[in-house]
Amino acid sequence: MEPTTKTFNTAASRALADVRLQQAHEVVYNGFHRARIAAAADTDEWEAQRTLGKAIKDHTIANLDYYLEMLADNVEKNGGNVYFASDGEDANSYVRKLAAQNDVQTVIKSKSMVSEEMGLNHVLETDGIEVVETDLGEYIIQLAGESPYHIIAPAIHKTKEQVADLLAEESNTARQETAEQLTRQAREMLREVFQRADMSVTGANFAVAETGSIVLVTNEGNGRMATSMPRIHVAAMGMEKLIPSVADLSAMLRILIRSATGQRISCYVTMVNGPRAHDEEDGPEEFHLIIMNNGRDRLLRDESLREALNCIRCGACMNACPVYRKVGGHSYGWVYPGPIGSIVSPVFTGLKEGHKLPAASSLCGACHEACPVKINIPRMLLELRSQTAQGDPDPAQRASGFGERMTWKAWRQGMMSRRRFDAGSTVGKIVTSPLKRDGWLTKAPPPVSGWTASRDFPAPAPKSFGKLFAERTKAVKDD
Amino acid sequence: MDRKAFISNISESLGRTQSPASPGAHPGRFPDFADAESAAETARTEAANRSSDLLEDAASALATTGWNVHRAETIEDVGDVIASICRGIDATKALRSGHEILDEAQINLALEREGVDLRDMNLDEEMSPDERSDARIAHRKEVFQTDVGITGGDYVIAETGTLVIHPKKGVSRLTSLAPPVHIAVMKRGQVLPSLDELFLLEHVDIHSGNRHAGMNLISGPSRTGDIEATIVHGIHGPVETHIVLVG
Ligand code: SF4
Repeated sequence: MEPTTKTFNTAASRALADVRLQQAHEVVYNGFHRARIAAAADTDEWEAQRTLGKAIKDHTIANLDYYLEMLADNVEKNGGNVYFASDGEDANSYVRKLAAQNDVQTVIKSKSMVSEEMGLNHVLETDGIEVVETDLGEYIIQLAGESPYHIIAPAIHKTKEQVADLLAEESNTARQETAEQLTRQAREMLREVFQRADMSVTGANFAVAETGSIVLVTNEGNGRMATSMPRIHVAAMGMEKLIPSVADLSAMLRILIRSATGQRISCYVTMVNGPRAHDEEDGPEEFHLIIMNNGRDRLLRDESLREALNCIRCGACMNACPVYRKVGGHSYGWVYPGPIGSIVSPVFTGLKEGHKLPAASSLCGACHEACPVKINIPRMLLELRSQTAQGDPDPAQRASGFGERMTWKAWRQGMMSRRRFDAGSTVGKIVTSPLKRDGWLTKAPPPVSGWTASRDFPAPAPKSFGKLFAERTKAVKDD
Repeated sequence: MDRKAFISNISESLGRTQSPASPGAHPGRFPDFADAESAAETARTEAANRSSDLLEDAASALATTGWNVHRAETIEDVGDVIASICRGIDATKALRSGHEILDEAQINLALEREGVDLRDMNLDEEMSPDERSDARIAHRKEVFQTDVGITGGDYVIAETGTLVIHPKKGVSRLTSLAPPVHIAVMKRGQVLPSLDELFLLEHVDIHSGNRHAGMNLISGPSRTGDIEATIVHGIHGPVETHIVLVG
C-alpha cells in the first residue's frame, strides 16, 4: 500500500466534517472501548496479565534472531516452507511464483494486515488471479474498492444500504435489507468461492517458535475455512509476531481478545502446525510461512522505539484515542492507524513524509493505559517529535525547515539565561503590542498564524513577574 | 531473501554479530520443561478430581458463549437428545466425525430411527491416491449440503465456554464448520478449568512427540458485527451450536 501520511491534515479535516463517519466513530467508541474496559474489570489479575504479556514480548524481541531461527526450523520440521521477505515486493514475488507454479486461479484471503502492507491483492490481480477477501468487513471494502477503516472492524464506516447495494451488484441477486439477510447473502456468495479456491492467504495473530505453529483468531470462521479448504495455505506475518512457547498462548490470547473486542474468547482460535496430516480428510497439502521485515528493523535498531515491536495489533489504543475517534482510520494514510500507527508509519515512510502523525496527539496517555502489553506510546510519540525537531542527519529526510530549527535553537539559548530571558520577553512585548486586543493576541501573522487560527493567545502582561517581584520587594524593604 | 542474511540483519540491529546461544530465562510460566511436565500431571489429576464441579462451571460458561447446552445423565440418553435436536431443525442429512463417544452413544441407531441420513467422511485405507483425491472432492460437496455436523472433542474449557477439537484422521476440519448446525457430545472428565491448563497440556504433548496438524477452539456459533455493528450468527461457520454434556 502506498502511504499517504503526508496529507494527514486535509484527510482529517474531511473526516471531521463527515457526519456519518462521526457516528461510526461513536460506534467504535461505545462498542469496543467500553467492552474492553468492562472485560478488563471483569478479569482476575488483569494488571498481572498485562505485565506478563509485556515481559514475554520484551524477551522475545530482545532475542528475535534466536526465536526466528527456532520458528523457521520448526515450521520446516513440520513439513512447511518458510520464506524470509525483506519487504513487500519480496514477499509478493514469492506468492506470485508459488501461484504460477501451482496454476492457482483463485486466492481467498482471511484478514491479514501484512498483506495490506504488501499490496498483495493488486499484484495477484495484475497476474490475472481472482482474489477474494473472506472476512465480511474486508469483503465489503474490497467490493467498494477501499482500504480497511479499522483493524478490527474494517467496514465500520459503511451503512447497511451501501452494503446492500454492493452485495446485490456483485451477486446479481435481489437486494437485501437487514444485517441478517445481508450476512446470509454474503455467506452464500463466499461459500461458492471457498469451494473453488486453490490457495489461501492468511495473517497470523501469533507464531509459536518452539512448535512452528501459527494461531489465527476470528469470530466469523473464515480463518478455519481458509485452513481447511484450499490446497495451499500461505500465512504472512510481520517478523515481530512471535512468542516462544505454546504455554505462553493462554496469557497472550487473554489479553489480545479482551483488548480487541471485550470478549472472553473469540468464537474461533485456530492453531495450525503445518500442512494436514497425510491421513487427514481435509486441510492444505502445502503450508508456507512468509516472515516479513519491511522496515521493522528500523524500530529494532532504535532502542527508544524498539518497544513498538511488542504490538499484538489489538486496536485498543485506537479505540481509546480521542484523536483517532474524531479523525478516523483513513486519515493516517497507511495500514496501521491511530496511536501505534503514528509510530510505525513515520518510521516506515521516514519522518519527512510522516512527521505529522506523531504531532497529532494530545499525549493524554489513554493509549498507554489501554495497551495490553503496556507499550508507552506517548513516550515514543515525543521521541519522534524530538527526532523531527533535531532533524535527520540525512538532509533529504529532514522534516523541519532550517528556519524552524534555528528558531528553536535560539529559543533554547534564550531560556537558559535569566538575562537573555528578560531581554527576550521585552522584545516579545514590543513585537506583539500592535496585535493586542483586550489582553489577547487574536491574529498572528505568518509563519506563526497557526497559533491563533482556532484560539486566542494571551498577550504578555504589561509588567513581567520578575519586574513586579523586584518592585514589591523593594517597596516592602523601603517601608 | 536469504534466511542467513535476514537473521544476521536482525542480530546486527540488536547490536550483536550473531544469534545468542541461549535466550536466557523465559519470563513465561514454564521456563523449564521439567516444571511444565509435572504441572501438566498435577493439572490432569486435579481436573479428574474436580470433574463434577468443572462440568457445572463448563455448562454455564458454554451457555454464555452461545452454545445450547443439553444434559444427559448417561451415555444411553445421548441418542434421544441428538434425535430431538435434529427433529427441531428438520434435519434430513447429517455428518459425523469418528470420535469414539459417538459410537458409545450409538447415534447411528438413534438417527436411523429418526429417519436422518447419517454419513461419515472416512477415507478408505485401501484407496489409491487418485481415488482418495476424488473421494475428498466428493466429500467436500457433500459437507456443504448437510444440515448438521456431529462431533466429539478433546476438551471443554470452563473459563471460556470453549470446545477443543484436534483435527485428525476421522475428524474432518469441516464437520464442525460447514453445516449450519453443529452438535458436540462431551462427557464429565473432559473439562479443563482454563486456557492455562489447555496450552500447558498441548505444550507437553507436542514436546512428547504427540503433535496434531492443528487445534480448533470453538466458542459458540460463528458471528460477525461487520454490518453497522449488528451481531449476526452464522457468517462462515454454524448458525447454531449445541453441546450435550454427559455425566
Ligand atoms: S499498541 Fe498496544 S493497544 Fe495499540 S494495537 Fe498494539 S497492542 Fe494494541
